[in-house]
Amino acid sequence: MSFFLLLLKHRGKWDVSKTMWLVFVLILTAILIYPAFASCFILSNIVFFFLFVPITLGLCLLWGYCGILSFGQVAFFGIAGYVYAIVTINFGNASLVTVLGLLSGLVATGLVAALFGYFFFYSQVSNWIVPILTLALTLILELFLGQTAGYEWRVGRALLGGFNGINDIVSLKLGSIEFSSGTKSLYYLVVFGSILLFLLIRMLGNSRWGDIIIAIREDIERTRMLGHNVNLIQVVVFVISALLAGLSGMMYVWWGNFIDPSSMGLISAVMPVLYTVVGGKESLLAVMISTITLGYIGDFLAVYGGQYAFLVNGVILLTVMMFYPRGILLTIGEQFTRFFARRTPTTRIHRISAPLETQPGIPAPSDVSAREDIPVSGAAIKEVRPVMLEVINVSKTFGGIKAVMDLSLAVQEGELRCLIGPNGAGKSTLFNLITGRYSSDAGSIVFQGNEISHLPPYQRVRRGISMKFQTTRIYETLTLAQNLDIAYRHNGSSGEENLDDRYWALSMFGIEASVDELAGSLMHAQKQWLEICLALATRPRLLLLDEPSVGMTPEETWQTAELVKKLTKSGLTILVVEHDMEFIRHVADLVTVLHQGRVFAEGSLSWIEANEEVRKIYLGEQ
Amino acid sequence: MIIDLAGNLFYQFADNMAFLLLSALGLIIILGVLDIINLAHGELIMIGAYVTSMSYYAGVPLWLCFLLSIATAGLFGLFLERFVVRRFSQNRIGAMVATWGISLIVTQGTLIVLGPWMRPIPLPSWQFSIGIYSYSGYRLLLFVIALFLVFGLWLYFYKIRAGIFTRATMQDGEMAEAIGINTVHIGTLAFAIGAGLAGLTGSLYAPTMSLVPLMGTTFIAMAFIVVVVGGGENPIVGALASSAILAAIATPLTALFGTFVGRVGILIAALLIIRVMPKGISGFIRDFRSRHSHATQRLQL
Repeated sequence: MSFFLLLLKHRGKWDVSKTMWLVFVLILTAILIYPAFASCFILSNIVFFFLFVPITLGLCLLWGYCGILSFGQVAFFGIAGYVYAIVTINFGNASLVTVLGLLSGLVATGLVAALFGYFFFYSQVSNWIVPILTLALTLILELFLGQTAGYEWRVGRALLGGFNGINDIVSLKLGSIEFSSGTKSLYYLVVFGSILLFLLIRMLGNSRWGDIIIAIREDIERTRMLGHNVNLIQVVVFVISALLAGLSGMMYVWWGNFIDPSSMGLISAVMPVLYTVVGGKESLLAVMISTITLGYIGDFLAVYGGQYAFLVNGVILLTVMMFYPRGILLTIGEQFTRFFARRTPTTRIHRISAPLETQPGIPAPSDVSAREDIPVSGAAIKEVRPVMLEVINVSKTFGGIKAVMDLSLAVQEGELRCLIGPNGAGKSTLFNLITGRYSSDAGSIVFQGNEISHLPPYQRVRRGISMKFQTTRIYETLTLAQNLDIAYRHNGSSGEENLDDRYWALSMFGIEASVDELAGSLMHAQKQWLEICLALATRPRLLLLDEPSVGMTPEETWQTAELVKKLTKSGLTILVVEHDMEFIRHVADLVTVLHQGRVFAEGSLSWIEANEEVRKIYLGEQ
Repeated sequence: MIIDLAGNLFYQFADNMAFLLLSALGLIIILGVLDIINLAHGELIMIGAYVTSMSYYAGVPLWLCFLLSIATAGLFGLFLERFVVRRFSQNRIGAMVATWGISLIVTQGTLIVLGPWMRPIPLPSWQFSIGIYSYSGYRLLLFVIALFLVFGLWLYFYKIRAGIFTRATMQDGEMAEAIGINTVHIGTLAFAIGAGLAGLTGSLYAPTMSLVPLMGTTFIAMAFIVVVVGGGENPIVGALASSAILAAIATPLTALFGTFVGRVGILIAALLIIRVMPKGISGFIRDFRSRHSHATQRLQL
């Protein structure tokens, strides 16, 4: 039970209180007994306001949580509605057929969304492409269905009907209960269904998957390099949001017993976006309330103001975007919270309950030496070291420029290798080839005896290659604990087991005290360290560090070097790109010099430093 | 007979390409310079068409009507950029939503103020026939005008100072600022040019279609797809290549199966093309040319 409560809690703080839940229960009771006092007409209107809740919640999940905006959610609304209509008209109005219609509607919607999602997210398109191509989809569908008047446009016995759409569609039936317009059963189905969906999505959003979805929004590349199949997750979220839109579409059909092309037109397409914007895309609750409220206001306007309704919608959309970009309800909610917070000091709720000191097996802060067996998965250094990473004759060309040319490199287990070389030598390209962010033109990359050059980045991470980016990339809006929690977990290891390991890295870098603070509040060097901790949280065998000491003071550089050495001692293999010679002097066993995309020299640091040729390429005499 | 058919296919192609190119040109320039999709693009086209019709029936000669509609739409774009779009320089997606709000206001405002339709302009009856097919000279003229517009934009971007400054801003805004270019003004100017082009599109197509407040919808779906396929990295190359490719796909499909299949064909082609070239044709060309430079390696965030 407490597990469910945890999941139901919201990220934002303004709706987690007991009062809020009390209000929620009161509302549920009110909804339950309301039909005893209301007429069919009013019930039917309430259903109409609630039936747009799923489509808007879907957009909230997609846009607010995952950072992907879609303008074409109504396309899925319409597809589901039309498919349901076609199935029920063709196969009669038995209870079973309506259920079949419901399922077919969902399947059709899901398939179209999966197809579009695949092309969007596996191509890794820019973020403006998804909204406009989904809008193009819905406009083309509207155009098509608008011209299907006439007998030749039919599917089986169902006439598509052009601009008039399809009429007399049967509502959902379950056994003897018919959810037709104006009935209490439809009222209960739509209202409680919407609330149930709200709770389910809220649970999803508050689960670890929700954290990962938000991580994708915050920094897609970092999340990919923490071992997540980002493209697939984005497709799944897109499909979920489309299915929710489809549910709304079918509820619309049950409510009005008709569907027409204008439900997919430009003016309908704006409605989910409007509701989400007004509510505040980061809060599911705010979005649900705004859907119902604006639905009510829109209905009022349509009755009394006629043509002014859309004008008002446009004005609302523009005003909110310009002055309350986070959403009106969310802004108001935050003001309220601030107001109450001043009067009653609230206890902060952390996802991770126990304070760090009480966790078993974690050394006290600053006592680094207390634990030498670092929990990265690499055996202790053996005398005969097998080769861990072998780069064989790899080339990468950009246009006419050979960034990496016929490069070969072997790194042994437990080694700490420094890569140096002037700008443009191919160091970063080599890192990107090893992690899979670039695909090589020729050659192969072998990691622990397996060819990996065809694998996507996330699979390489799962096999044990992890990377710290050159510019610090952490999730600044999440706490340190949440940051570490996002890293991919290997099969069979539960979250609890891993927590020790993850926090251990924090304490090693001396930032464990900030575990529940936002990562953005750390100092520059600490952010760099946190990113190393993030990279360690995927339990790598090979760690790639791209300029770990950039922008640090000499003292911090020294500390970083010490820590990197300590990591190596535990058996982790590390490859470092670094410009700071002090750092290299401090850590390196072996230095590889890259020049013009090739390995120029390789050897101990003293040998490299004495080498005339190496000096020449650094001084630009060649 | 074969020649007739080829001629007819070319005519269809030219008609389709002109429509795609003219629909998208203003949109893609705004995207290229400001990195913003203007969802009020369709309404700018509608404004162009309406101004043309209104001034035409006020007795203004047709060529002047065209100039008037360019000026009106351009001016509207100028205000739009100055008072709305500029506030969203850090939030590009927000700009899309806000311009959608503008789009609703303009459409519905027009409906309320000017009614559900506008008097249509008669289509110049420059019919001619080759073999068994007859053609509309006006539509061929549109194709020629579209190509001239592209040429004009090329002159602007490559030969005229303001255009070269615009390209500098597109490539590296901070650097452009550092050498004394007022990038804010460059953005406003680009938005106004894009809006003016949309206005011209509206007035050019005004004689060929019914003039209603929602007429922009006819253009924007196709304009969006052209822009996605073309990419904003180089608006001229992008718009030209993308509209040519999409017209080449749509023409046979439309001829055989009708308008809808043609449009679906374009949408599917766009999905396939972005799978190979996520930044569109012009982005693909640019990456191919200059990916060696670290400065231009903008990884997708």
